[in-house]
Amino acid sequence: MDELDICYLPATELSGLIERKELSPVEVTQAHLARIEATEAALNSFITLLAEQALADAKTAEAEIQAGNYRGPLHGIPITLKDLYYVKGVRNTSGSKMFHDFVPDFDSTITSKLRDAGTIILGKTNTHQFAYGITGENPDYGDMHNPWNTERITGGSSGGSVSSVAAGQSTLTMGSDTGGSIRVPSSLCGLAGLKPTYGRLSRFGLTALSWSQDHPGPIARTVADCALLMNVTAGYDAKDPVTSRAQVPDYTSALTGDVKGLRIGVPREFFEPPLDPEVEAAVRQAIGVLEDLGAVVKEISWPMSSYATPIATIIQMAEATSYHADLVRKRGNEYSPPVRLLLEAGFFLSAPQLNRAHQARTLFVKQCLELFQDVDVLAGPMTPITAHTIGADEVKVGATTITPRAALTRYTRPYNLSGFPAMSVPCGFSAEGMPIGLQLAGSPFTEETLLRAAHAYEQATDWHKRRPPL
Amino acid sequence: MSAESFLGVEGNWEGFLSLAKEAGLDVDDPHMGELYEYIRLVLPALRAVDELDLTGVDPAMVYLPPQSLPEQERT
Repeated sequence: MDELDICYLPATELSGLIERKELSPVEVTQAHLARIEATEAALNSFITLLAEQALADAKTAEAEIQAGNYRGPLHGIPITLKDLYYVKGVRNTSGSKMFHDFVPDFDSTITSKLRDAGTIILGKTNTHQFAYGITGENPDYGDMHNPWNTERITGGSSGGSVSSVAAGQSTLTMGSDTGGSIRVPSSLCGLAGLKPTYGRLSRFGLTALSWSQDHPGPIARTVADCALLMNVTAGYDAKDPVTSRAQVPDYTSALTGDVKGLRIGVPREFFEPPLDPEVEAAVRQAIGVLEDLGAVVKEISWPMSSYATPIATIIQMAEATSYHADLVRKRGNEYSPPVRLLLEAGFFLSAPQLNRAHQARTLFVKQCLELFQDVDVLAGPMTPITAHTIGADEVKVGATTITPRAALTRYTRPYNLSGFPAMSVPCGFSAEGMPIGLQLAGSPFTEETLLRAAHAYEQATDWHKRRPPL
Repeated sequence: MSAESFLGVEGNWEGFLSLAKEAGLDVDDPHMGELYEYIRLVLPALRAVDELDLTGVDPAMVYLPPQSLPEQERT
């Protein structure tokens, strides 16, 4: 097996080789560092690369495994963390030069859990400034580049995380999703990405964007690898008051391949224009595959889905501006212009307007729960377009021209607003060779169902086996 | 524009500057013109929320009240 093959092995296979001592964590880490060396100039995935520390950690892992102290399926597996996850002693920029020298003196809860599981942290990945953007463009640390076509966006805000895994620089990564920032880049770069239920994973030690809509979550090349990350990272945390005490299941055991009888609802509103015909065809075909596997598919109506964007946007703007208020007043010109505008616009919302959005959120969640009385999973496109060219101010979707932000968040907001789990899984490629994603969503704490459905679909197709031409 | 937002349809440059100053922004910054155009573009799109009938609907608050009385009050 050559180094490139090692870099594209999923954690589920890599872990067996490591446990049986057929591959050492040092060999695995060296292969990934070589891959980073070969591709980073084209991708710009990393803000901080931790090569020396990673090799040292790999040697420790190797010694532990040789001594018979194998910790489990993530022991010795390379991972990257979006540069919002605090790692003790490592700078945390949040994608902004304003925090270029900020070094936290503690780990985020998720970082601690990943360390305990024995993962090898390769570095901190590039992100849209403060995660407040959906394209992965960053004037401070450089734009992120899509491994499938480096002139195209990765999507954001977890763009560096996603490019690192799509290009084989890392096996796994952790991102965060406030308006689609796990699912959108996963879709645009051909990966599986899960935004869990709000409160399923701890936010402690992550830079906040919108407290009530921030969701940490896993991204990987396969659904089974997402399940492995969920097994380790999910659960109650006394340091994050919104985390749930609900028991954490073994997500891997949910991957049975069986979707017989699974009730899948397809909201007709998700297929209204603007939607790229290539995306629509791929997504409808994917839903057909699930039906062929035994799922029961029916079209449904979700009239309130169109309200998710304005409701979620008011809440996000208010929370983000509150978080950044002092900094944007004093150092506004150090933000990228689009992020500065979003933050300053939040000052012009009123308290009654925000409260009304919170009332609307109650109504929205109630309707979501009613929807899930008749279906187990909702399915639809992840984004209405594939990755567009870096720097584009507008994108054409069919006969409509809209902003990238409006296009890329079109289907994401309902699940940030409700906190319900949702994930993207690869379901095809455009004629230009750009990945297309299928979004699956469920009711609270049904990540097992989502992973089961996504895994069954993945096993019936081979989109996840393709490698970018890099 | 939402009737409940500070900058209604009747909002003008002077009103905008007044609110910006109240918010602590530097109104002499040449960037203010861009912000003015931006909010006049973005905030009206949020008006859709006003279409919803929210009579009798409580806001989805994140405040979590203590689940038990402090020790000293129980004794």
